[in-house]
Amino acid sequence: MAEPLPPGVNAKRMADALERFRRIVGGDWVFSGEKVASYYDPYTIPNEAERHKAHAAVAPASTEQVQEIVKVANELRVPLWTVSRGKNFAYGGAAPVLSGSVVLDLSRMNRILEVNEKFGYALIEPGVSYFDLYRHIQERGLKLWLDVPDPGWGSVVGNALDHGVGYTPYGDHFGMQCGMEVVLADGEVVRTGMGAMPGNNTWQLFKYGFGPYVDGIFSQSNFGIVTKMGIWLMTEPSGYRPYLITFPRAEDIEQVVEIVRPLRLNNVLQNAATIRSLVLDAALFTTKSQYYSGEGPIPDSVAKQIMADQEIGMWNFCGALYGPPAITDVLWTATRDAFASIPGVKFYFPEDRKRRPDILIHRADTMKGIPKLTEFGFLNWNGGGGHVGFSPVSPITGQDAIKQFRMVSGRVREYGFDYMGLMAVGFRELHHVTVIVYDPTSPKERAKLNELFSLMVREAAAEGYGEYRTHIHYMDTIAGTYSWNNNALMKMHQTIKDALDPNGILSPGKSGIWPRHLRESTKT
Amino acid sequence: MAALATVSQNWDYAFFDERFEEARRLAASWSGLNPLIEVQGDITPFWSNGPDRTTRERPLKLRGVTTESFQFCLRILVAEHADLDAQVSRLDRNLLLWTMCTTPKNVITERRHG
Repeated sequence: MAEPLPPGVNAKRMADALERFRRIVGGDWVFSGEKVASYYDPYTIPNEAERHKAHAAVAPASTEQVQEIVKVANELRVPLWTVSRGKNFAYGGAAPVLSGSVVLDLSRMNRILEVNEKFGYALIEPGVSYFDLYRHIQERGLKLWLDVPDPGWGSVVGNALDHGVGYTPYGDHFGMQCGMEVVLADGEVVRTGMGAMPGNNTWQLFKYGFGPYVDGIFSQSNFGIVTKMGIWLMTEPSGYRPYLITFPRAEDIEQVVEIVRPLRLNNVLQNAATIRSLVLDAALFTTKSQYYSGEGPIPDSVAKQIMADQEIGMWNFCGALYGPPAITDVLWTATRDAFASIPGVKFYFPEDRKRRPDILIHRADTMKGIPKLTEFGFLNWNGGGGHVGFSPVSPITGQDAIKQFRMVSGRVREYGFDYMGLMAVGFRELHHVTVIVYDPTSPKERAKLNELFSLMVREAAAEGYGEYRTHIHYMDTIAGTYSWNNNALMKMHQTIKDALDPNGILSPGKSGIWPRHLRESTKT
Repeated sequence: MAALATVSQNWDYAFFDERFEEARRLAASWSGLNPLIEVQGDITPFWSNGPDRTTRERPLKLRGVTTESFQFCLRILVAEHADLDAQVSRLDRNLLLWTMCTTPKNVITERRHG
């Protein structure tokens, strides 16, 4: 199939744009024809082959080249779809919302400009992966820890911009960003916060500068292209003690979360701990067919067998203690005592775990910021390998947790999938992330997944639960649920979009935000 | 698939997922010239221990009988630094049989730490 063209751009104009991009970045860094395939979503959801297909890709090496590219794109009205590294595979990878877009691939912009041990931050470009930054820190023996999401190959900048989470006390990644450099649609370069002041030396130390705090409008948005970002790094603690607490019954989640809330609000729980479901943890190291050859989700008897074999529960709380033993001993006592009232609860430290591989041994790395790819093991559960994340947010209450669990797991199982979910404990909220693993080669299964996902979004919204992040295929759908006061927020987004990017060249459709000339034609 | 399994040549790395009988059986049938590497689905321990560098430096011939996640992660990692010719067949619900021939990309991505 020929690569699609975006609305309003003919083949000649696109060819002109690509030729001018080649003059900016060099011919080796403009990708068209069969080389565009690496920018496709490997786990595409829609059955229509033309959806979410890029026309080409261009990979600049510097902020200056990004500026030149957007000037050309503006002149020729060619839409760009910006990705930092394009590794966000549960949410579409490098693929654009709007078919025919040219992917602006920032992965070559991979300079680590500064790592400051004294103040605990890094200043980096968007092509820097967690693996890159971790290696840089290790090679220099710096006493700093990253906070990593589950896949270590993603962009530190991109993950923060997409509101990704990790599992140390620095788990709110966008919360840990400090100071940006942004290329606007007209090619202007802006530095935010203290970076706006010539000669200032607190760009990565104080977020707010003077005047409106604008960094947030460049996250999950299409208002500019972030080319540098400061990220705070955790100072290596003097002690570290990961632990696992298992709970034997599905309904235990209600009591567990009620216990979690005061512990988290009082900072007894120091990190962004996770409460993970049985199948999610089991799937990292085993496959479904090793336990069950039937169709549909596993029955309770199989769940019990997995729990016994792997020494895990229906829910598994992975947390960690950070600091000197005098502090962590006290925190552990408070944590253990709080959960001890739940019948069947079990407590483990790494030295208690004898199986290999093991969930706590694995998560112990992640909770100290070691980037890995281990979590992709869940792709193997059904053998299919496609996956998409459904991620509603709720308060940290037992009532909400059990309600969400029942809603989501009920629907997921009704459609023949196993429930693979986790609840990540934020400062005041739970991110309930459910991974649905499906066979991406089966049109029938993709259609089933699409129906299920759309249904869950509607049902969650009806109960007041909104997704914090989503696959490119559902950005309009999710944005539509944030509709309070006649879609006032989206109207404001559109006003900003029209002001900053009047020709609508930056990532059309990102987070449901469309430029003026595409708003009507993209309504579904 | 049969042709894929019986290709006779030297390989830089040959992977098999030691958790599965079929993978063990197939790996045992491969030529002794193939350095066999036992894996358990997770590529992390292997990747940073050499292939991350060698993929950038020279062409590699890789083969494997592994799970989806290992093959998927390897393919994505390799494609960052090399052009890739891959063939993949599904053996059963758990296992893929695959080959990958890599060629380092002509222009090395700049990496400047400062």
